[in-house]
Amino acid sequence: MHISQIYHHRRLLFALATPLLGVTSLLTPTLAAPSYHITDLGRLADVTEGAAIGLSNSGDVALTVMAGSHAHAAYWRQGRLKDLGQVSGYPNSIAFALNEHHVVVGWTSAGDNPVDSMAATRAFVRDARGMRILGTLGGRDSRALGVNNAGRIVGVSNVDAHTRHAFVADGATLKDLGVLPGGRFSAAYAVNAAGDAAGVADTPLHINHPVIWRHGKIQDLGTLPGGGSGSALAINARGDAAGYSEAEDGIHAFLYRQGRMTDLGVLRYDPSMANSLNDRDEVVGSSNVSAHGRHAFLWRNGRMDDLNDLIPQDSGWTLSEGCAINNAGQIVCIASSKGEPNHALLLTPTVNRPLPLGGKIKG
Amino acid sequence: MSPQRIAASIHFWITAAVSSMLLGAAAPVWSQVSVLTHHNDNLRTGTNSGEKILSTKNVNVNTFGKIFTRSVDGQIYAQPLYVPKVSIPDHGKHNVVYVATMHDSVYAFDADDPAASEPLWHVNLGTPRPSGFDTRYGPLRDIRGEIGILPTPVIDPKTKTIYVAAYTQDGAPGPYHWKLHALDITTGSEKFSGPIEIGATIPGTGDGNVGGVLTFNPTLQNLRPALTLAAGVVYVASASFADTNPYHGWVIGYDASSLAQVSVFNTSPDGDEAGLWMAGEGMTVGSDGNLYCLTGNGASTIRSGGASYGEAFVKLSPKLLPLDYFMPSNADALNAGDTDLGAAGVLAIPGKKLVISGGKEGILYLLNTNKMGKYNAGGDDVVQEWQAINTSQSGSHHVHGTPIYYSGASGAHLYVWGENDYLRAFSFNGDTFNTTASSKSTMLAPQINSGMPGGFLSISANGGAAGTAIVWASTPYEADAQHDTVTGILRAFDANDLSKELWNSSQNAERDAIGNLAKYNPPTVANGKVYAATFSNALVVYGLLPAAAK
Repeated sequence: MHISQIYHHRRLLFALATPLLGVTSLLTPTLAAPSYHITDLGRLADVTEGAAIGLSNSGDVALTVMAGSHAHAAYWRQGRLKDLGQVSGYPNSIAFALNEHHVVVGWTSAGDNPVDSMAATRAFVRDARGMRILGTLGGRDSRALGVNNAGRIVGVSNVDAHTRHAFVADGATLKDLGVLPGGRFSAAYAVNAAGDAAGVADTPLHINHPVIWRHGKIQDLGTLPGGGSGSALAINARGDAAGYSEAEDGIHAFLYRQGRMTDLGVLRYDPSMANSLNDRDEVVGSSNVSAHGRHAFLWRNGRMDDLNDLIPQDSGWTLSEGCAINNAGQIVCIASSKGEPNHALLLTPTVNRPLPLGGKIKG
Repeated sequence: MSPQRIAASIHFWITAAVSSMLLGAAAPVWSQVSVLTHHNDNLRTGTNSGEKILSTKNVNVNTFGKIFTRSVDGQIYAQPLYVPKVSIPDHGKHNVVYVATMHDSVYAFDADDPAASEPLWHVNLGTPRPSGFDTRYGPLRDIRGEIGILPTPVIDPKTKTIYVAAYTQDGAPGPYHWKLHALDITTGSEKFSGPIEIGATIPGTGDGNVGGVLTFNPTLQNLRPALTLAAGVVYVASASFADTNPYHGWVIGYDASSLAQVSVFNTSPDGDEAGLWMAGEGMTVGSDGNLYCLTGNGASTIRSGGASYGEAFVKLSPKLLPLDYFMPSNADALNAGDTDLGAAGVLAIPGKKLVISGGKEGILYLLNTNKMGKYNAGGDDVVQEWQAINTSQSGSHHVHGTPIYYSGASGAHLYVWGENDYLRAFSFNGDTFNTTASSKSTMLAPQINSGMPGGFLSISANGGAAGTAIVWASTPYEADAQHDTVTGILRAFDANDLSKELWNSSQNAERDAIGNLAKYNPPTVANGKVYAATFSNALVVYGLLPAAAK
């Protein structure tokens, strides 16, 4: 029996047995967890740690691949990978996010090296009209980090040589999203359908806090108890956010909803960080599992699972980072196979999801 | 013994005997170089620019190879050190290579004579602590076997003293001690009323404080960086064993002639962690006389008026007063991703007010030592930063081997070999680096599991003479050395074109195999020989083969 069929079989047994088990079923590990089909999207260009991979609700993926000696944004859809190319004068393009209308945003670099402080970086948007460079808030550099289905783009741009602010752009013009009172820095990493954005901003003491911009107004989300700093990296249609925060005993992934920040814990060891969440408040990210090793996690219904436990155990892949999750429960991960460079994998649940959108989620 | 092994053994002894006649009796007579500290000098350039024998013409599989080995009693984490013309009582003058082991032994070996397998002297400094003890991440696996002399010692040629930090235990489970020894390089005898117990206390509210006092705890503190000798002070520095709290980064200075403690710096007195690992590199001493180091994950309150320097370059005065720092604008993300900045040591660019290094993100930061850049969320205020590792390869980008530097006939270059990447050279124009590698090796560091730890480098050259600059690199052969003891490989490259590999220890493995990789340990090159530490309880010595040496 194939491993994925085993998982399916176990779930069926669980469904049949649950009414009989009663309270005991609450103690049974992993049985409700989905298993996944794996689709290898190909080799990634890792420009920096924590490379971003975008995932739409229809299962399309924005990622970055190598094109010769340069990094190029690419679009994966239904088994086909398309190099999105570059803008003249900017040999590198790094994808960060996409929407349901095949619009991809990210940033470009004027240097041969994609990360080069001597070269300008500029936000780009790539749509049916091609790839275009966006402006800045007055400084040299900008980066687009999120886009919603209405085409609203968020990111970060230099205001001057030493100051960066979050921006929003509904067209080619960038608008400054501002900072916290007394702060100097902000960045917006994601934007939802309502136009609300999630990101980070510093306090007057240069401590970063996770923030949300709702209707253009910045809101400090605070931190987990015992922590001083953090950052929000994702926001869903409900306005819930996810990211990481210092906690009493290290840095932990968090979920912020209904005015409350929930510590998502760790797989085995801190630090952990959440990169993405869907509209069911299912969260993916990464956590240490050893002194040097990190694994991708899926958090749902109050429980954090190692995604490596939810794929066929003979797959040969080690999932190191959960990058994005969509409303169909699909997840894109960074993964490696023994002796091979990192690849992007798309994990697709093998069965339909039981929870309806907007359903009640246990905390 | 099989016939093949007998033949190999006979071949070795014949080779050794001939080598002894040809080489041992005819040690070089010109002004010879010394290797007195980790990576050759306090700038940590990794360069021996006085190499008169080895060149790109004679380092090849036909004329260069293993010429002898020296057996020792443990793994060798410390880089071998070298002093020429040492007068050993009753043994005359010798070029001496000094080897320290994790079994807490120090050996002085004749550096030239293949037949001189017995050490000129050998001392054992105590009982090492067995590894595998419980840590935050379970049993310690980063270091296998035992922990004894982990940091590279340092030698003061003027006083003929080698300073050694040894980790010992009185019994199991402890108490454990880090002790600083000052040994006579001619005899191994203790000097200056040593050894002394390494320890310190400072006022602090950080993790583990008792009544507002932080105390160096030898059970948790790991003296990972090499010892540094500067202006009459021996500096030791520490991280931890696998992030087991409570720990801090400590730098402690001892007077070199009395071993009296003269200075202390704690990297996180109002926080936690911020350890000094630097993959075994020592503190870097710039041309300004100040010290530079690089911290790992930990509290970073300095940017908000506190005193903790996690994820930062730190500049210290000789008295260990903090003078300046640089913390990347993504320091929080580095902490959250366990992406330590302080995974390697700091290189000071000779003749410039510049230092450079990077960590697990694979980005190198070039800093002005007069204006380090501090913390600026709005963008790093640095001279330059760029993705130096793995721009075309996937996998982790960690820099563990401190970048090294050489200025020769074809200009000045920095060399670095990160995990899962090629060995790369970046050219320097006197102010900044070209961020596209000027050359790179044709082979990657092994991409197995985490690909730990990349390459550890040294350079030999005859000044700026063309055709003499060689980059020597030690990497795993085809495995991941993160938690395992694995086979190593030593390679030699033309420093002017890294695509030209001149030689490696696997080309004629029967003759030249190095054995188990000495993790984090660059080769030592001096006076025609390459001294390679191993985890096979042996020092392996390479040089010109007898026919070539005639």
